[in-house]
Amino acid sequence: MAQKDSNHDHADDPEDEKKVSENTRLLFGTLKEDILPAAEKELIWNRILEYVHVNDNTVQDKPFGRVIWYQAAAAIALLVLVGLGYSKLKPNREEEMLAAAKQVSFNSADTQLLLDDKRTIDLKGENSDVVYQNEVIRLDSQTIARQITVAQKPGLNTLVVPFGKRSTITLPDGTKIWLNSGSKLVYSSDFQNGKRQVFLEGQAYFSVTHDTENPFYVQTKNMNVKVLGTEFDVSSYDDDSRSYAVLAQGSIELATEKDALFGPKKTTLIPGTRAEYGELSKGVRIARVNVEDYISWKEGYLKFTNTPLNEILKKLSRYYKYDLSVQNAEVGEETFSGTLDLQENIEHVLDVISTTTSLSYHKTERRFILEKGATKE
Amino acid sequence: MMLEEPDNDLWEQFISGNQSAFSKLYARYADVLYAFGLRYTSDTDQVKDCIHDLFIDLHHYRHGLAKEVNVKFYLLKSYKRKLNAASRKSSMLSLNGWNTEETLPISNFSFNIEQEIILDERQKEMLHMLATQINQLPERQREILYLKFTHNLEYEEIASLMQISVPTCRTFVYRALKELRGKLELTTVLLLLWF
Repeated sequence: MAQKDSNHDHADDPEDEKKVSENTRLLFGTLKEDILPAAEKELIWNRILEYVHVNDNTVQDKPFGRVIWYQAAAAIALLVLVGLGYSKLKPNREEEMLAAAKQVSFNSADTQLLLDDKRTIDLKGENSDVVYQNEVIRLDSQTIARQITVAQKPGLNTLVVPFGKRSTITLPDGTKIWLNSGSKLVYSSDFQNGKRQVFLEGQAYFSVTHDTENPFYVQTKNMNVKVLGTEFDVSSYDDDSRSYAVLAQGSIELATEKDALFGPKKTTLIPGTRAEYGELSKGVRIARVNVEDYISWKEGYLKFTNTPLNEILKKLSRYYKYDLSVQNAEVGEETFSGTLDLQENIEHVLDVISTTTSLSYHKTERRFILEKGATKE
Repeated sequence: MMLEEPDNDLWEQFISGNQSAFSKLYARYADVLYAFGLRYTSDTDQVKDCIHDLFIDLHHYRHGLAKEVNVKFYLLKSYKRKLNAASRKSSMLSLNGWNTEETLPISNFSFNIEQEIILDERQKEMLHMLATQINQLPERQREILYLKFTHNLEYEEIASLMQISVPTCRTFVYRALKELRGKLELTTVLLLLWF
C-alpha cells in the first residue's frame, strides 16, 4: 500500500514539477560564484610548474617550494599535541562549545541561528527574538514569524548576532538571554535534561530561571559563571582584554583561570558588584558598580558614569557597526557621565556627544572621526 | 571565437604527457574548482592550496589515470576529497577534532536575479521566492541541487561525490523539488491575491 501511495505521488503533476525544475535551473544560472583573481590563478600555476619541474628533474633534492610546507606540517603536529593535552583537562562539552563558537564568523549581515542539523536561519531586522516553546522554536523579528520543529538528536546550536544587531533568546527552561551586538551564544539541544550550559562570546544579559537541582553555567573564554537563578550581565569580547560579570540580583559563583593546574579560582559575587578578569594580569578584581551602567543597553540606551570616551565609542561602534575614533589620543582618555539614547541614529548620538564635549566629528564612508575644535556651523 | 577542444581530448593528451594540455586543463578548471571549494569553506588559502595539490597529484599520477572519464566530475570528486582532508586537518588544529563527520557543510546561495534582463517583474519575484525557499532546504538537498543545476552532474556522479546511494540521491532531488513546489504554490496564490 505504502509503495502504491508513493508511486501515485511521483505521478503527481509532472507539469508542475518540470516547471519548478526549469525555474531552479534558471535560478542556479544566476548563482553568484566566487571568482579566482587572475593574478592568484597565475601564482598557483607558477607554483605547480615549479614543483612539477623540480620534481621531475631532480628527484633527490628537496624542492625549494616545499620547504615551507614541511615547516607548516611540523607546526601543525606540535599544535595538535598541545591541543590534545589541553583538552583532557577540561570537560568535553566546554571544548565543543568553544569550537562551535569559533567555527562561525560575523560575516553575515543578519542575525543567524545555526541549528544542530546544519540548518541556518537568517533573522532579518535590527532586533530579533528566538523562543523555545514546547516542541518548536518561534522566531520573530520584524518581518518573519516562522515555526521550526526541534531536531531529535541533541547537538549544538549557535545564535550569531553581528555588529549593529541585537537579539533575545528564551531557552526551553524559560531562561531569557539578551544578546548585544557582536555576540555568539552556543547552547545544546538537550537543554531540558538538566544540562543548563551555554557558551558566550560578546555581551549578554541573563535572566536565569530558578532551579536548585540544575545549576546554570555560562562559559566564556576566560571565566565560567555558575548560577542557580538570578539576573546578571556578562561581557567577554574577543577584542577586549578584560571580561566581566555584573550581578543585578541573586548570587553567582565565578570560576576563572579555568586551565590552572590546581583547578580554577572561585569567586562569589553579591548583587551590585562587578567581577572583572584581566587577561594580562590573570586576576579578578571585584568592585561595587552602578549596575544600570552595564545593563541599560538591553533597554535601548547607554548609561555612563565617569566612563572614558574610548570605551563609550567602542560600545557605540559595536552597536551601530561604524568605525569610531578620536584624532587626539588624550581626548579618548577623558571621562564622561550621562545617558545616550540608542533608538536614535548614529549621527544624532554623535551630535549629542559633540555638543556636550565641544568635540566635532567628520564622516568618511563607514567611519567617524572625532576631533577637538569648534563645531562647524 | 575559437572552438574549444572537448574535455576528453584534452584529458587524453594530458595523460599521454602533453604539457600544454596540462596547462589548458588548469586554465579551464582552476576557476570552477575555486568557486566550488568556496561553497564548502570560507578559507580561500585552503581552497587554493587544494587546487595546487590536486594538479600536482594529477601530474604525478598522469600515466595511471583512466582515459574514459567525465573530466569535470573526476576533478570535482578528487578535489572534494582534498578539501575534506584539509578541513579535517585544520579542524584538529582548532581543537574541533571530535567532529568526525566526513562532509563539509555547503554555504548558503546568493543569486543575481536582477541581472536577468529577459525576465519580467513577476518572474523575478517568483525567482526571489524560490531562492529563499532553496536556502531553507536541508543542507544535503541544497548541495544536490547545486551539483545538479550548477555543475550539470548526473545522479550517479552526485551520489558518488556525496557518498550516498543513487536511489537516495534521486529521492533527495525529488523531495527537494516537491518541497519547493509545495511552498511555491502557496506563495504564488498569495502573489495572485496581491496583484
